[in-house]
Amino acid sequence: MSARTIRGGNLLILGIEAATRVASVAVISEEKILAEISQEARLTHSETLLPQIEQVLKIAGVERVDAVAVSLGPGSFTGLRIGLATAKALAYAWQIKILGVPTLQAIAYHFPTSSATVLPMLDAQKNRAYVQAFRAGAPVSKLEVKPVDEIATSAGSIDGEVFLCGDVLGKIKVPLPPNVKIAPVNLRMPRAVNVALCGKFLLDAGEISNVMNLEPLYVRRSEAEELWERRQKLSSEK
Amino acid sequence: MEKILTLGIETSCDETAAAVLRDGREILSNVISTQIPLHQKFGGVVPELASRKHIVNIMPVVDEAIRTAGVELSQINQIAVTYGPGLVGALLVGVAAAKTLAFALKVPLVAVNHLEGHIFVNFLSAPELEPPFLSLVVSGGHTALIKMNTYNEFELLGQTRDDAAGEAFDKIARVMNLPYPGGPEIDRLAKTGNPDAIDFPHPKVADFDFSFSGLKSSVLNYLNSTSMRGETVNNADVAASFQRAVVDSLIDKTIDAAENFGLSKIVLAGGVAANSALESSLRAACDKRGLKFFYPTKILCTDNAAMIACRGYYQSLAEDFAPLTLNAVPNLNFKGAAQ
Repeated sequence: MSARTIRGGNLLILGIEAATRVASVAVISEEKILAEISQEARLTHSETLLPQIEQVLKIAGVERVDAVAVSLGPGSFTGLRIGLATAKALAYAWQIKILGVPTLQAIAYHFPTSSATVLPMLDAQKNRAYVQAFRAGAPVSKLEVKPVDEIATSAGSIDGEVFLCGDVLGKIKVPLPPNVKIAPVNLRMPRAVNVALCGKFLLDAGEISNVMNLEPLYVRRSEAEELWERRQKLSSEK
Repeated sequence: MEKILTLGIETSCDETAAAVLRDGREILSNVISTQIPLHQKFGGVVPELASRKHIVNIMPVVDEAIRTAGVELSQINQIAVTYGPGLVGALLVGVAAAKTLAFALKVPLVAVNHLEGHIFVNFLSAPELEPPFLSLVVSGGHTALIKMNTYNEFELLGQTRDDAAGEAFDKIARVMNLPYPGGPEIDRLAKTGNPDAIDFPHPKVADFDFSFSGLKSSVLNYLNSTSMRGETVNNADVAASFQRAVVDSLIDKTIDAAENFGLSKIVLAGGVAANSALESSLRAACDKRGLKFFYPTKILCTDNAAMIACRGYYQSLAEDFAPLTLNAVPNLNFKGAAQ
């Protein structure tokens, strides 16, 4: 690391979050959040993300960072790619490390407690959501795609308090079981500061991603592939 | 004076491409990673798959362009990127990467219209070419006649009123069960066929506009009715006759426009410029009338980033730079066209 990128000997990490309607960027330095800009507006990430990065670096008072952590998904395919293309180009141009953070894990980082279970749910289209259960920030189930109402109902069988987060909470049509709560607004959506903090863990664990081949966590395949395979299956069954 | 290095980036459809240009015309590198095999089984480009491939390929392709050029990334003076027309998800990968590189390297960004890039590629294959000239642009999505007055001033003389020539090629190839991409397949097949075998109607449109949907329907009707009658279709004759009708229509309008505006140079551009019948017939028509004909080499006919860097270089001379808020414009057309 060149000396000028390091402020007071502390490592700077830029977090980038564009998996949902939230466009969020943050700069952290060890134990400090130097700056964060988040917005959930109707503007597209393609227009807002880079100016936000320019702004957040300015507010943090830094020219550059030592690593970039990016929200990898699942989420909006296009949003993920805008975030990742931006993170990759920064990592490549500045020759800094890139850290790929699973989006659901970054949301779960809002709740660093083992006394409750967190279920971040992100829109997977057709009333379904990407979902995974977390306790104390660590995953305790597989990442799955499930109908929104089924997630809400089956959360009733989880022991103890459960918090639902994410961008599909408005689509829940069933009554919530008594142990299940909707997370407060400030802890519902992904934020770049969480991505940067989760990135710090990856960095400390030596889990650095490769800027040359890093891909989003899509979870779902493209519709065209699914359709093609169904057709192949049908014609082989004939 | 120090020479300008432009890095070009192109991700509008199914090729991830990057190139480095020294000043306006010297190609230092031109890297193209094609996705054609990936889309083949679907019979056409699948937008989501194209975008997924671009996000994986983008940095290796840029890196290879820098290395092959024998320069350092820090020496790049400006970045030019295709912002349209094309597939929105595909364009966004290139736009996001290019904007960020420009920001990180503190160099200007130039937003390039892909269609203009196809015209400018001719400056790379013909160093002596200078405006003014007439350009016939024929690609998968566009068919247009452009009068180029200077490097940064064009006039749209006419364009297709319905299907682009390339679209008609692709559609007919699909109905004839030819592999994707269909255009080159029809070109190949036509070489063994008789162009006078079937009398498909030659499109008639006023001014310098084109139309190919009527011709397309008539070919599709022919294929359909022949097979209904239980007769075998001679694919080679269909390909040759269809191709003749398209090529004739393109050439007639082009020559008309050149004579009308007193232009002595004709420049063929766009993906369909790789069609050998179009190239040889337009060349012959130009020779007959003493017009100078320009045509890009095969590799430069396909989508590439050298043409984007070239267009970007000339835009930069007019200080036509883009802000960091640049977005992709999937339905971008030539300036002056009704959107």
